[in-house]
Parts: sequence; structure tokens; C-alpha cells
Amino acid sequence: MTDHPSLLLRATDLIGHPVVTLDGGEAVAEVKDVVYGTAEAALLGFTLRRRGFLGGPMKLVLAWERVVTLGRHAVMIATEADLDQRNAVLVQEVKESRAHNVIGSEVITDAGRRLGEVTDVVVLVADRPEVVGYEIGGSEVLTPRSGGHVFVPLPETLAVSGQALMVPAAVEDFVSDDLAGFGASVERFRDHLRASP
Amino acid sequence: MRRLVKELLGTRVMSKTSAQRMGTVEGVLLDEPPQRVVALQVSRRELVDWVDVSGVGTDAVVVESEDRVRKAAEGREERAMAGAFDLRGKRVLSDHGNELGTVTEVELDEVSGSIEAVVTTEGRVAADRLRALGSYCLVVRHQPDAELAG
Repeated sequence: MTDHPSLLLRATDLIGHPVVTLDGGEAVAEVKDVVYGTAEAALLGFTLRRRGFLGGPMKLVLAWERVVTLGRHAVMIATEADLDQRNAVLVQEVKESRAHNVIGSEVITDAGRRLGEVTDVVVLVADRPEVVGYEIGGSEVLTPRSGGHVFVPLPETLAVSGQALMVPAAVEDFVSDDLAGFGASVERFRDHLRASP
Repeated sequence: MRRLVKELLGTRVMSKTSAQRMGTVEGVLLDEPPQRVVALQVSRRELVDWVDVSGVGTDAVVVESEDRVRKAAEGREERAMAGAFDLRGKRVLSDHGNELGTVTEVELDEVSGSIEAVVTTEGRVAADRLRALGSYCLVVRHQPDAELAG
């Protein structure tokens, strides 16, 4: 078996993943939906449902900072108490997330080019999961070879409003049209930003 | 000597003091995190603590005496007796959230009762990587240089 030191996942791929406790080996919930923030254009956490065919919704939510790791088959948390129903910020974001969140936001470069709309968030799974980019659809300028979707690296800082994400124009050189090659793009893009502030 | 849990199951359990047959090994109960066998299940509701086992041979498991047989305690022990933590067929998940197959066999040291390794459908995981055992899965530590890294 090969090792997977780092792995890129679309956040929506996590829907249906079991949430498993590291201290007990129990699947305490299943990811129902991904909650995207507006302020930081990042992942805030997950809403949950009970596992199994009678799996109804749960009032408990899982905040992003409580996630220990995300893998190909499960979301790992330390202990069941990490599921929270009093996380006011997350609960509020869940209520608002359908109205306006990063999904559907326009991506515009600081040179004034519209690159497309965010269709998903890309998470790098390493020792600590991190949002590293976006999947963008509806792009007329990036002309992907197939599928109509491209992956755009996320700068470490960027301006976000309810409607749009402002990214450096240089991002266009680091776009990838497949998730497998995207990890290298993210690293090269960040190196580039650090080298030329 | 190394023994497989599979070989223990079905072995008759004998009393050392009376030489009477007390039952057969129906299951093994592990500590948590899983490192060693702490008891042998000898009937649906009864077990014998590993410390009361005087010998584990190929033909019989010998227990000090009949009075060492006890009922399962409420909670985890009862759930274990009902099969919630049976390793055979159990899903193996690394603490990085990646599946490593299902358990096909558990290797034990028959003297100490400590687990040496767990064999899965994908390979072998050493006992020092076993982190937690639940009804859903066995959680093992990610180890980059291992046969099954996780």
C-alpha cells in the first residue's frame, strides 16, 4: 500500500462520511452537509445526521476546529463530546449558509478578470486539514480541457464579500484542471506569493 | 508462543482442581486500548479472567477452578460478550481516516495474553499501533513507513 501523506478532497466529497471517535472507535454521526463561512471563505464545519437507514438529522454540529483529521473514509474527532449543539457561531452560519456563502461566489482577479464561480472548496488533508483552494465552474477565460471545472489555489489572505472573492491575477498561472495535480499548483502559487510580496 | 485467536475459539476449558470440562472458549475480551486479552468468554454470559487461566494448550485451556467463572459486568464487558467488539471482520481505520481492510486474524502471545499483531485483508498491523476498539471499527495509528501506513 502506498502512503497518503497529503490528500486533496472536495469538501462535498465528505458528505456521507462517518464521524469516528479516536478514543472509542465509534461512528457517532455522519456528515449531512458542509457549512461554508462567508467571512473567511473557509469551512466552518459540518451538520450531522444519525447513521443508518433511519438516520435522521441531529441537532449536534461539528465545528471545523474540532476535526482532528479527514481521511478518504472518515472524519476523525478526538471524542464524542466534540460534537456540539451550543456552537452559536456555527448554528447561525448554518441558518445563513443557504442564503449566502462562498459557494456560488464570483472569483475576480485584482486585474479585474472574472474567473468563474466557486462550486466547491478543496481541502488538503495532512497532519492538520486545511482549505487550499476552490473548484471553479462557469469559467470562460480559463478554458479547461474537459469537464468545465478548474481548481484555483487559495492565497493565504484574500478579500471576500458576500458576492465575490478577490484573488491576485497571478493565480491564473497556477490553475489546475485536475485535482491530482492541484497540490503542486498550490505549493508553487504560495511560493510565488512569498517570493514577490 | 504465538497463537491465533481463531485457534483458541472452540477449545475446551478445563478445571485444574476437578479436571472437569467447564465449557469452550467462545470469545476473547480485550482491554482498551486493545493490547491484551483480559478474559475468555466461556458461555453466553460467563467469562474467566485471564489471570485465572493457568495454561493455554493446543488441546485445552486450563483454569484454576470452577469458581473462577463469573458473570459479565454491566457496560463494556456485557457489550463485549454480545459481540460488539469482536475483532474478526472488524473494519480497521487509521487515525488519519483511511480504511485498512477488515480484521482476518489476531496474533497473541499465549503466555502473557498480549496481542502481537492484527492481520487485515490488506496486511499486518503491529500491536503498538492499536489505538481504540469500538463497535464501528478498530482505530490504528498512522505510521508512514509501515506496510499499511494508514
